[in-house]
Amino acid sequence: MSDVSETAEAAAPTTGAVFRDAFRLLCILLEGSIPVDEGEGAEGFDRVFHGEKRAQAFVFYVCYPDYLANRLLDLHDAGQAGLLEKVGKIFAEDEPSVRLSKMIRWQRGAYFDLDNSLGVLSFYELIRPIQRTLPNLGSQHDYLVGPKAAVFVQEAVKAQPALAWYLERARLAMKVGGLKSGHALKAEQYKFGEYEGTKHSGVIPSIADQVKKRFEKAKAGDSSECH
Amino acid sequence: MSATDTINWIDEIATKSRVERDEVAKILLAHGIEEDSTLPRKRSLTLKRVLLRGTKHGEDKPFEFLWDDLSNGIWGLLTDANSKGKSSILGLVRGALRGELPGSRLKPDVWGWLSEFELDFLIEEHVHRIRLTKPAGATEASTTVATLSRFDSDRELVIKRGISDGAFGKAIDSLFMDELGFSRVRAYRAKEGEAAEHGWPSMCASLFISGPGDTLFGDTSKDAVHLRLIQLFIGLPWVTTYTCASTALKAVSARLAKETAGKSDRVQGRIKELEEEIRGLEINLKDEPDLNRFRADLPSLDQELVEKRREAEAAAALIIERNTQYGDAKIVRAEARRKLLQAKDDAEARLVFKRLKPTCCPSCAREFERDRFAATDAPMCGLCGKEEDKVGSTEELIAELEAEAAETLVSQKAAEKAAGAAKDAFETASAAVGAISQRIEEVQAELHRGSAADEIILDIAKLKARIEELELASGPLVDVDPIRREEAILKAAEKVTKSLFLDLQTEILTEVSAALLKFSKAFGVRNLQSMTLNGAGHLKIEQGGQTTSFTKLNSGENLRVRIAAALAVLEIAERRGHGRHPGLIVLDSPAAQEMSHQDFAALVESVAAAADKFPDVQIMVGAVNRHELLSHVPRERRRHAEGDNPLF
Repeated sequence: MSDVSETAEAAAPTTGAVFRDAFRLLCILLEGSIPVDEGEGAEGFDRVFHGEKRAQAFVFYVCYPDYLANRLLDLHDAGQAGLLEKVGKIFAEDEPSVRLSKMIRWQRGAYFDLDNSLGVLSFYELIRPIQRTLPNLGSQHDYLVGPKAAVFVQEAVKAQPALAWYLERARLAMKVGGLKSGHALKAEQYKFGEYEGTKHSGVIPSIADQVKKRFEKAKAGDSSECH
Repeated sequence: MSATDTINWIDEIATKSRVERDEVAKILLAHGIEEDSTLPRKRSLTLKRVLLRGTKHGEDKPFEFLWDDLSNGIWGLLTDANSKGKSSILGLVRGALRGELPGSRLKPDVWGWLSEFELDFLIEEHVHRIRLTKPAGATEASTTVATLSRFDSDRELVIKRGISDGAFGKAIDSLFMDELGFSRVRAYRAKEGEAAEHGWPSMCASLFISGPGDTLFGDTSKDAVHLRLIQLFIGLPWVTTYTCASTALKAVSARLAKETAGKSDRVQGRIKELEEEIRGLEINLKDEPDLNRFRADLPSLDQELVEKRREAEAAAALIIERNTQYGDAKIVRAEARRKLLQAKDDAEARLVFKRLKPTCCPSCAREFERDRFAATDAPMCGLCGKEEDKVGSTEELIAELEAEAAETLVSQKAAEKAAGAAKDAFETASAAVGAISQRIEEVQAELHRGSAADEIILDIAKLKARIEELELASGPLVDVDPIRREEAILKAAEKVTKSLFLDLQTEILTEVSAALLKFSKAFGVRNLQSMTLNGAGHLKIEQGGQTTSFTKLNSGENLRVRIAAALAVLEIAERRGHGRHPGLIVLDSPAAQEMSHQDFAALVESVAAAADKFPDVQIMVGAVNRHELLSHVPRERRRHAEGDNPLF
């Protein structure tokens, strides 16, 4: 596999996965949204997801389960309960291999072309991308979501249970990222040598092996603590 | 001799010796012990003619003495004075018959004079001649030409011709032994450790009586020859067999004694100690590492190590290759699964998205016209105008991807298995490398530690050398069991054989003893009550109420008894029809101090009287003439040198 083709594949998802990518993004936007400030929304859209960079950061966590697992272990180490089980499930399902959607490193970190997804979601009136002027006079892309999207996702999951994974994963990613800014999230991701060391336009490599080891260690430590 | 006798004889020996019959037969054959059970028939020896020619020292005229037409009966060589040639003639006859010309009885001067000597004699009816020629005056044997020949009608057959030496003597010995049917007397001389053999000269000596002697027959008691002569003359069967067995037994017993004796208990004990020491060292040697073997092992171990290392390296390389393949397979598999999942998820997402009915254009945001999409016959995309995917194409794609995923699973498993196999191979090879390395380390450690084996081997060699020395000093170690068996066989053979002739011997000796007493009395031995000749050759004599023996008789009695013994044997042989005395007795006058001429003449007179009873016997007498003789020896049967005349 050449770098060029891999980069092309990673930068723009295959046309065959347009709806999947769109659904993934929708879940992220929905779970990462907050109610709009008064006078800020639009008809049918009562919540907002702030920042494209932030969206990219969450997409990265969903596309790279190993990086997510690593952050979950950080939280586990920090004392959050119930996360080790979730990490265990990630490895048990071989997610770092099977659920991987390769991303490339671009100017501002891991990058995935969201335009197609945003197009699909907009077309179906599930989101509405907006541009907001920041206090520093810069601009930021935000995404309005509303009850339609919430109902759509709920029904989709009911009709196609396999899609529930994206919703759950978005929620798990939110545990890691929460309401942190895109900048802060990227900074977290840069802590990984593999991430940071990836050259510009290169595919971000997997860190599954080392995370798995960390997980095994954490699990062993936990069980020894239990005993 | 019958086959049955032979079988019985050998069987009896086998039974007595408790040795297998085959071995008995083998041993007897090896010692030349043959069955000789025949009652021997007498074969006669008769002198026929005596011729002497020569030239006396200082004389020109040659002399000649011819005594012809001799036959059985008594013959006399008489001289009126001493030293007139009778003993020279009889001495020459004796020497010729013994194959020892000139012989011990001939004076050297007479031998010097001689140029020609002939003795014709009959063995049974066959004429034989011993002839000797030499230059008169010469005395060396090398100047002689001796001839032994037999006459068949008038044809002379030369048996042997050459100088008068040992070889000529052997020819004479063979002739008489064969023709008279004698067998050699064998004996073992224990002191000298050697076997002795007596042939014709010893037997011939018994025919010549020229005075008293140490033995009843012959001129020696050495090797019990006199006893054998008695047995021979009285014609005992089995005697030769017995003699052989006895001689062999003595030799074997001596050998056995030599093998078993001489090695003192102290030496034997020391040898045993040393052998015990060797055994101990040999046990120690077994525990010692064989460094040579280790040294020999090292190269092959090194070679093996190199090979196994190569194998391990190859296996390690294969592991890398297979693991790479396995990794690739896993990547391909993951890729396939990812694609499949992505396709499935996408298909499902599409379904949910497609249920939505947007009301405005995503591009310009204006509302769609009513029935904007319903108007189209073909399922075209309202936005891009492309034909919608055919129904089921998604399922088709997913099915394809599933098949691909399944395929990659198979490949991955195969790659995993191959990688596992490579790993196993590596582990096996590594274990082998480890094992060989360890073995090499052990061998090197052993080599480093060294071994006492060389030292022990040297010690063993030293001890063996000492044993060898001890054995050499005390004679070799021989397995004496076979010798013991041999001795047992020979003892049994001697005993069995002796038993076969013992009764007959006793019977004959009783008769001989009686005849001996009769003749001894007739020949003038006085006061004799009884004479008993036993199987050992001893003559017990009751004389004047005292018991005495042959050797204690005075010289006159001795001579009388010796002559009596010869006639006694001849008489019994004649009576029983068997016996080997050749029927020739030569009496030469004894020295004056042993018996006076007168007494000798009287003795000869009674001998001549007795001889009348033996028509087949020839008795030749050399004596100083007395008138008693002239009446008993007819004129035609005597050569008489009267007055001072010599016989030649």
